[in-house]
Amino acid sequence: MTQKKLVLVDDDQIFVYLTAKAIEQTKLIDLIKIFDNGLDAINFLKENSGEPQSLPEVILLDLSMPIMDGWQFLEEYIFLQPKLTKKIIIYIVSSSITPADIIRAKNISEVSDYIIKPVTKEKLIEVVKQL
Amino acid sequence: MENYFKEIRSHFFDEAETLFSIWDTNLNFVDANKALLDILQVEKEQLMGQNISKMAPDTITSGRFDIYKQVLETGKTAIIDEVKTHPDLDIGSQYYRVKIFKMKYGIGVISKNITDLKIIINDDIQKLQEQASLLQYQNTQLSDFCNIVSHNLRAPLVNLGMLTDFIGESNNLEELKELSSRLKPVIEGLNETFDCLIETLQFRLDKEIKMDQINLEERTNKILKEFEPEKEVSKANVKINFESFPEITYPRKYIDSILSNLISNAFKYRSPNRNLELNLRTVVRHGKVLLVVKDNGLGIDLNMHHDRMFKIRKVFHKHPQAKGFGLFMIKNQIESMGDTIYIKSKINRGSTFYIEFKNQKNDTKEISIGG
Repeated sequence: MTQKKLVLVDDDQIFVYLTAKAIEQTKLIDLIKIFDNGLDAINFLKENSGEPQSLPEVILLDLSMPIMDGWQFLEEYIFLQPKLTKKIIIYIVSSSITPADIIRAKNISEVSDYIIKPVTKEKLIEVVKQL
Repeated sequence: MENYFKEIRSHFFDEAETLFSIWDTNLNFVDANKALLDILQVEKEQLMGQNISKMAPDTITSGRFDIYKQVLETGKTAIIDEVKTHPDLDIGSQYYRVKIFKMKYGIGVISKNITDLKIIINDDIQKLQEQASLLQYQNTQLSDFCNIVSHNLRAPLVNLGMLTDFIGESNNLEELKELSSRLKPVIEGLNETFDCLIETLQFRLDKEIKMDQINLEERTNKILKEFEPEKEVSKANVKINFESFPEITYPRKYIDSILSNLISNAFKYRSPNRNLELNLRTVVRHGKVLLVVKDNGLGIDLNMHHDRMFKIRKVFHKHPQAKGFGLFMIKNQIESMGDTIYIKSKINRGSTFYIEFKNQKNDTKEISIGG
């Protein structure tokens, strides 16, 4: 069985702490990697684009972040995707309930779903079970 | 009887304020009324037989000559608007509505001065445009506010909800302690955002805010005193030159907030590779007063961040003290006074903030100080 990896891109420390805790409790994910802005996350993907064993199965992406926000991350990701040696599922996980944000996310084919915070443990289990 | 009618008609022709002229099939002058001759300041005899293209060369360049010919050929009446610059500059441009129609042996031209009407309409258009841009601005404000509520207030509430859920489900004492300790910072953050929002809403409602006569150099030096420790550490070289506009009329608390935020940012985001050069000055350009605050710090990628520069809780550097309130606050203060702030910046070269004051008079004594 291969190791399951998840990347969490979010600058909200409380959310990261709670989500990581809940994911650990599911015991369905072997490694959680955390970045507090889009730039660090995209750089990580770039560096590891040729190494599928280092790339995550799933990315939980916040929208509002310093330095590079979720939208900017997605712009870069679309360019990077052809070079990635692994299929990665991206979920936007945001506290924004603005319809404009939700519609915008739905129009990006690389985004699998838009999850509005708070994220329940049940929802997290549903997300990681699919992997 | 026929002559009688001819006579009164010709009387109307001469008394009318509207300009009448008659041209033959070759567009040579035949007749004009008194009003037109008065404007041209010529006698009718001087014009007799002259071609319109010679009398008024601008008819060719403006394309009017072709329209005259067209009317002659097709017999269809044409109506055009034209602008004439009056030789007397004080009078300014004159607008005419011109009707050209075919007659038995040539064309008739009627020109009506519509300048007054034009001015009234232009004034109305200008007023409408001002109101439209004010509406657009208030719309942006509203949508910004919705975003703030949707994100900046909702996010901490969500965290509180999740934390209490986890607390409810946990029966491990250590974990409970850990979870509870995380409540306080969320509540503090929520409070800060809330206070900031209330304060900015206050700026919007502060229609009667007290105006002060402010000596910029004095205020700047006073604020710089609070940054003495930073100044020392950064070996900053601060230059102040407000000579071109030393005093401004503004609420003191706004000026203090603007100066203190921009100065604080310059220290916060200085380059680790060089001593800070901070330059504060005033410039008068096209009748507007600019306060310019320039540094040689880290700078910012405006291509990436331009839209977010002045938004609440947006930070662009990995800095522990970056909270994203400062620029949001001062932009709100500046805009509530009808003024603008903008930034020019290059990564690793520095940033320059410009605050454009619209309602400052050069002779400061003329300004009545309210409050």
